[in-house]
Amino acid sequence: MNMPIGMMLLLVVGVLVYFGIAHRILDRMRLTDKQALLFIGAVIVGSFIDIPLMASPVALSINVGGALLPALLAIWLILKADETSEKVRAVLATLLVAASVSLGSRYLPYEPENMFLDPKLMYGVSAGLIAYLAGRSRRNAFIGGVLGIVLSDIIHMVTIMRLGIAGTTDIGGAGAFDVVIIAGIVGVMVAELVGETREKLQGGPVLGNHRPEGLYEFSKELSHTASKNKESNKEENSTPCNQGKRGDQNE
Amino acid sequence: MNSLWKIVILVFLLCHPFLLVQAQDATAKGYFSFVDEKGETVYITGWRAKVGDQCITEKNKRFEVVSIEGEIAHVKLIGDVDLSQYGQPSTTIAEEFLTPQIAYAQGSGKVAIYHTHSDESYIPTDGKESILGAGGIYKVGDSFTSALKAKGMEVIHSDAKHDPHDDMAYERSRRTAIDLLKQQPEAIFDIHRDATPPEVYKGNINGEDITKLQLVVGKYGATGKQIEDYALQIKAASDKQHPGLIKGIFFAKGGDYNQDLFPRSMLLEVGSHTNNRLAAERGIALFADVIPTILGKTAAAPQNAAGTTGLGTAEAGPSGASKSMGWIIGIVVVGIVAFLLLSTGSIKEAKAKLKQFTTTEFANFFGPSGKMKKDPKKTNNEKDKDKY
Repeated sequence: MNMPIGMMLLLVVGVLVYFGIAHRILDRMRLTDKQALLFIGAVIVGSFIDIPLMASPVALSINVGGALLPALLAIWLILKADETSEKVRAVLATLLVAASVSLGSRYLPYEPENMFLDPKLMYGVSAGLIAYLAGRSRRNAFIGGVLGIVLSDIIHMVTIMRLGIAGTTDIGGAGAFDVVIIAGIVGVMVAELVGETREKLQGGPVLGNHRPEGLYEFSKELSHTASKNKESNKEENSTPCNQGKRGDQNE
Repeated sequence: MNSLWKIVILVFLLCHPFLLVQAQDATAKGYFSFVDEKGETVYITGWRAKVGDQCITEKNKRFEVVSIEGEIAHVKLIGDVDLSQYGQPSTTIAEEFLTPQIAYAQGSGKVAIYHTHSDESYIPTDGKESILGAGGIYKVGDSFTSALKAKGMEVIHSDAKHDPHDDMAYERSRRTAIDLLKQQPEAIFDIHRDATPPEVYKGNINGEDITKLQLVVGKYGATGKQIEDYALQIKAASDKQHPGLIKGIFFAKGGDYNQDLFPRSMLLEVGSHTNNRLAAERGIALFADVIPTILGKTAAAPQNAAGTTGLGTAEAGPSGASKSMGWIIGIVVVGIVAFLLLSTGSIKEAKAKLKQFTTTEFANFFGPSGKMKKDPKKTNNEKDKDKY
């Protein structure tokens, strides 16, 4: 390809940063680092595979990397949730995100220029906020972002079918760079930011029966708060390797 | 109380689209006129202007929007843009003559074309300004395709539909753009039409009535700088071959228009809904003459040999690609620092968190860190005793 090194480097840097962030997000989704890396590899390969589902009246297909794999991961996360209430909250978050995207796409100004945030980021931020409020959870933010966008695509397909407009719906068709994955990633980042900030404002994670194992507190390294947390330190000391990623109550 | 707050915020999140629409309706009439300090209209576009948006006029003057009053955008002059540094380094007539051929020989010469707004049409010829699923804009794309093919280039013109014309249209066309990029084009164009009075885009080149073009650069993403460079290269080449064909460049702060996907992505506005579509087809056919020159270009400042890497030169400064890379890395670093400070509140605690992140975050990827491996006989509890 006739392209100067500058442009190629830009492409490489962009892709590395994007997948680097995606990797850090995925390893919070009940995946180990290696599994997360394999998942990203599968998403990249899957980006080249479109499965046709319907030819008329609207051409419908689903991209393996851009929608099928992330959706399966999201569904698996729902099934693996410990409590029924958590599952319900994940489904609720999905429905709310889909509603927000569908209403937003219908009534918001049609040029991204007229909005305060690019649509693909805005729906990610909405997913993060809605899912965090619905379940105070990073995993819910991912589930909400991914499944919410997939659901909104299905709503879009039904809408154009009803209006009789010729169109195509390729769910997750942009593969690894699709808004499905971007919304999942941005959602988790927003949930993480809101969660950490909220925790900081309230003076540390909430202690109680639902406190996850391995919850790390920086305060133990800081002398001024060490005395307050003596008891909790004892139980944390037994699992030094797994500390740190889980800063919130329900994940 | 806590759940009450949650409900209030959830209701707000679901209703915010409606709140924004009301705000939009107050001024949504037609087009924006950019008026400078002297009270002269220097630029007109159907794009809704925002404070901070910029434009480069046909005569290469750069303005920035400083305030908005209804549909009038007050602008201030930033300065004249010297496009000569983006021009082709042609020293002899023979070299100038050979440039397109050299460009074609260097690359595949493959161009991809798609239309995010499938409905866009031209009232005088198509009858309506919007025809869902079958806009006149596809015919403008066809004209561009034939003109490029006539130059021996390979063209992929997508007829994918992205209706309705809503704010998710760019997310749907993103899928088309990726699909086209998989076929490795040299450049990708998203072709639209603007919404202004007809005289804004009317032009006459070589005795032919044509409509002019506007380039739109999305400045939202980190790759905006590279796209800006690319747009200036296009304008420089076009000004040389067909002066007056490009009406201007609009720098939109609000979105990236899928230009984040590829360094040679450009959004073109060919005429307005009030123009004759046939004139638009002639305009874009003339623009096709410029494409081989653009694809042969390799640098921000090609008159300097060091600039051929596209990374920039000492004289002209870093190229758009270098600036964009800087932005991407900068955003990541600033994001991490801001997040650490926000979530910890102090530099000391942020340092502790960063240290903890580096030792445990990749633990199950690279295995335990060196410190942990030091004395395998020690149990975890013993190690912890050492700490305190």
